[in-house]
Amino acid sequence: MADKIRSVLRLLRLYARMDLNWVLQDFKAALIVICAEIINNLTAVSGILLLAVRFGGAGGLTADEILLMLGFFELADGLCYMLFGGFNVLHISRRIGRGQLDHMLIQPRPLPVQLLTEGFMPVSGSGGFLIGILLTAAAWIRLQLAVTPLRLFLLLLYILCHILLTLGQSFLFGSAAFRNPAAGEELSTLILDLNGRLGRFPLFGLPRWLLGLLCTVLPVGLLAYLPSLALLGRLSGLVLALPVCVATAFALAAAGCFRAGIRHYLQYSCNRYKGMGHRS
Amino acid sequence: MKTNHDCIVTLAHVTKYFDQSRPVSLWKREHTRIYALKDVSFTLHRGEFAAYAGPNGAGKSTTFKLLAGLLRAQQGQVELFGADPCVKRIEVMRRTGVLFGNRSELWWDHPVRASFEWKKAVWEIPDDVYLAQVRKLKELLDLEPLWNTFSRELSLGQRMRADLALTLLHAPELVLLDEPTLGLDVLAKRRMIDFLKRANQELGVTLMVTSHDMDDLAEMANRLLLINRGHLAFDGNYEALMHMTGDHRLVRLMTSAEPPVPEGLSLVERSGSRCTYRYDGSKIHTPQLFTLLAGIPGIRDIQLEPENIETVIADLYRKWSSEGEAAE
Repeated sequence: MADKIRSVLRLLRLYARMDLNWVLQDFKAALIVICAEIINNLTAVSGILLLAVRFGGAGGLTADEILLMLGFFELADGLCYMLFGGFNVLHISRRIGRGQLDHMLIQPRPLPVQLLTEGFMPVSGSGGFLIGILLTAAAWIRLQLAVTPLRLFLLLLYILCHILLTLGQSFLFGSAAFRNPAAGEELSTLILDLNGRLGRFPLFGLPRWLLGLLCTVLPVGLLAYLPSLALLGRLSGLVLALPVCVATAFALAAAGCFRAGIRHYLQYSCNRYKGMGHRS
Repeated sequence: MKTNHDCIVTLAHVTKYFDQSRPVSLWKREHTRIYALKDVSFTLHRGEFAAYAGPNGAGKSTTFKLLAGLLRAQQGQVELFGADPCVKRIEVMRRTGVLFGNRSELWWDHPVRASFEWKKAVWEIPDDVYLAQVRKLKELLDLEPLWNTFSRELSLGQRMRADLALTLLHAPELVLLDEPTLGLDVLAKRRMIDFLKRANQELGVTLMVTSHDMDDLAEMANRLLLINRGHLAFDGNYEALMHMTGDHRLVRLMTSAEPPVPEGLSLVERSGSRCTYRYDGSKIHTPQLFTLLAGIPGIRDIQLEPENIETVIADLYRKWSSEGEAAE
């Protein structure tokens, strides 16, 4: 086990170094990419934030609470992107649908280790994460939230849940590309876009059945809304464990579907190959 | 993992099929079973250089994917170094190099050097092996000028050279190359062939190569495996292939007048006073041929040459195709 962890850490260091080299080798291009990502993230949060400021809150939350929710979303999503955003690990259906899994299967490393490490880009992919830290810190200060061990634990736990939910959904739906590579190539992208669009909205006031749906089957409510309510101390009891349960369920379902997909891949392979996005 | 014997690759009675289903109406689907390989068996020993050829759709890529552990056979046994490549993927891949001609293993936005450093880390290649291999491969493939060039800036020939070197970096005992000369110009192809021969002879690498260019394969490999419609149709050397297909030879004549077609020879091409005839060398020996040609008046020049391997194989493919159609 210790050997495996050491091996994963060595690979993470390798990909971090490669990412840093990429930035240093073509600094101007890298700077443009990072700035574009920061602008993109700021744009994504600014719409709802401006509405909340203009109307003194939105969806049952004050403007500062909205800021916390948006900050949490950027923080968790930025971390997820930083860890898995490189080379279409997060957009796994692209790799599957383009027949690029062959490149992974000829490496003498277990697939989970490859998936855990190849997408790591701590320098070029850190824009969203940095914005998330700034927004969360700003909201935290404005709301004068006390830094308690429980609150910090919940913050870390819900970030982990956010990452598991994002990866879980991407891998779960993206696994359809094993059976239909051409049609399924962009499934992960669609799911991630959907999360990005709906995950930043406060859901207060929605009918209970819809809220239930958005916190379980299509868990956009668990990406930022429910965690921010928990951080604000507005939730208690079993509902605090809902993100953990749903994230675990999605992660297990995704692992099962992906494993089944790999078995299918070994029977049928992929009838197409596109080099686009592979190691570039 | 078993490592005894000199046998590196074993395919024993391997059958691979793909079940396909297509809609024929709104409610009904038609199911068909396509056989890619049917009861294919062969072994490859250490140090061999085998060419694997066949017409399009014959089952070449399927065989390569089975060998690389990218596909699993429904029947039969696939073994590399005595292990199933799907089950012992990691161990097998440490000893095997795989390169598909239209796919690159290089990191596009990094210098060539970075791809080698990446592979060193992922394959856990010891420092001394890495340095020795890099030195050897740089020299053999003339990589020094490309070493700090971004992969995206390489020409196709340069990319193939770098990719091939990367495939050989971990000093694999077996290298599987699918169409390594695809799209290369004459010079780049020449260098590639020379390198593969040297890798086989000097580094002792066991190679299995597919290509549609039979002349290239004939020059590189000492063993030819021909596959047709999923069956292994031929396994042997080029002499044996010539024996099977007939020792076809060509004779080119330049005459002052339009020559007749001598008995036993067939006309391949006629262009003014130049004629090319085909004959079976096993039936008509050279003295006999000259006796036949002596009857042609006004011969200014004679050239004898063996039939191009491409033509021999093309004839063979044509024959298989017509036999297949007749069987259907």
